[in-house]
Amino acid sequence: MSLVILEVPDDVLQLPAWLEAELVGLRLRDLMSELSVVHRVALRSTSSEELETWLGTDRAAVLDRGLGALPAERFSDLLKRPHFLPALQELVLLEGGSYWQNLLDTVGRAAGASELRDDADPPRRLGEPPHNKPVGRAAGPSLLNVGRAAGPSEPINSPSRIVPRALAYGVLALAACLLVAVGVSLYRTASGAPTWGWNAPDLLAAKPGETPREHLAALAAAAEDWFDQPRDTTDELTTRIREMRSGCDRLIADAHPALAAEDRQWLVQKCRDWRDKFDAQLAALQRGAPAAQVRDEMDKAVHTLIQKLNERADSHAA
Amino acid sequence: MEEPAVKPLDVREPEARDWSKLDFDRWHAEHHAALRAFVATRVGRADADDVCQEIWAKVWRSRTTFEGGQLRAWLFKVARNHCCDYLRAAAGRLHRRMLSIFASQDGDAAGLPIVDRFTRDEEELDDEVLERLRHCLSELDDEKRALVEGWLGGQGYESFAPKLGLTPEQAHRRFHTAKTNLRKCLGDLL
Repeated sequence: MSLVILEVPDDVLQLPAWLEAELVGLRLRDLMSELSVVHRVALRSTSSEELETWLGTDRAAVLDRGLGALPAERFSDLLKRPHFLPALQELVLLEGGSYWQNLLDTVGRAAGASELRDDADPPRRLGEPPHNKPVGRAAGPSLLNVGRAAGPSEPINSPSRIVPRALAYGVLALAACLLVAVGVSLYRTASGAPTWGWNAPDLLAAKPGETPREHLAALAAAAEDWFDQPRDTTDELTTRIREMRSGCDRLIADAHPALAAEDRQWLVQKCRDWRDKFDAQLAALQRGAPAAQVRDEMDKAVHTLIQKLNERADSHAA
Repeated sequence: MEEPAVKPLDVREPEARDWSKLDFDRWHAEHHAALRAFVATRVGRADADDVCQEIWAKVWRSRTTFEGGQLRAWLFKVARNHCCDYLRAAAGRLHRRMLSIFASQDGDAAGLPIVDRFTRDEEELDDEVLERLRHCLSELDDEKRALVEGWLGGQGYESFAPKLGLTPEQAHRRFHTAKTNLRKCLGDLL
């Protein structure tokens, strides 16, 4: 279970592309429900005429070039009208040009592979009962009846021949995803260095004119990467803590030319303290502490260090 | 595995109306992703694949009723009606609310009032998540709440930070604190 809204990108320029993917994906219902809660607006039906009126002269551009064609304030207005989203989805699915069709193909393939991973159950042939579900479920028409209606004497191109092919595509997509994942993992192992957080290659690069405030704020922002890293299992958590720790080592070793001696001394001392905390959590993991507990402790520690860095940044005039 | 070449099918061609000649697999390949998205919005992700299979079967059975025109529009019309039937049969209250939204939107009067807002005493997981989200948002102080609303309103920090008396940099940092607070509050639901 996850909230779609927590995946909204930080960069406002990426928002249109993100919403486009949701419009042709499978989570639009979740998104509109969540946005209605955030913006405290009612979910209500929206006619296509109402949407057309709202789109006005932007309609053709949206169908042709996507949501990036909307002026910023109009796009912002759209996010505050989540009840428009189903009607907009239908419009772009039915009348969108090659821009939307290409997006649909890309997102549809990715969603198919993802769903297959999530469900583990292979797709069913028409007429077969749902996997792990009672045949006579209360909700919805009976699939058995649908299968019987289709009958055994369907022509060769009947829907019943589609599902095995869908399964094959799904397996291929899954295999592709696994290959990519393994490739990325091997690459990371081969390169030997993580590239997020304080290990990001550009983080400590010389930036002429950088103020202490900017430098400390950049370190705080980089530490926030921690919350985006996979860290649910013991193995993942162990790797992440080690990467965080190596980031500390990097900060301790760097000259931090943007900082005065006093700030640098403060930072080095803090980094040593944080590194000790990370070591303590690593030791706890090795003693068999539950990953969830260690993760919570680490989250708290990272949250605190971000606050400390931000407070130090704020102590310098803008 | 040999991947079939997917050639767009122009059903406005007279011969395409003869369904015995249609390549159903090709048609499925061309429109299934759109149908799946359309259906998932109406019945939810969990049921979308089951409902799509039912729709494809229905489309096959009623193929002779297709009178030409845009094939996807006809497919969506079949899907729209089927989703309304499905939601009507479903027991969950969330489904009933979705029916009240989509039945009206899709021009199928279901005899149910339009529901203006989610009620608070829900049993389904979807509702539990939304209720928890509502609660967690209410736990944020006014500034953090405004930051979350600004962010999800598609505004850059430069746009809404001054209204809160903050620099964009401060807004960015405090927003991330708000986001962290939200994640913690939502806890085991994530």
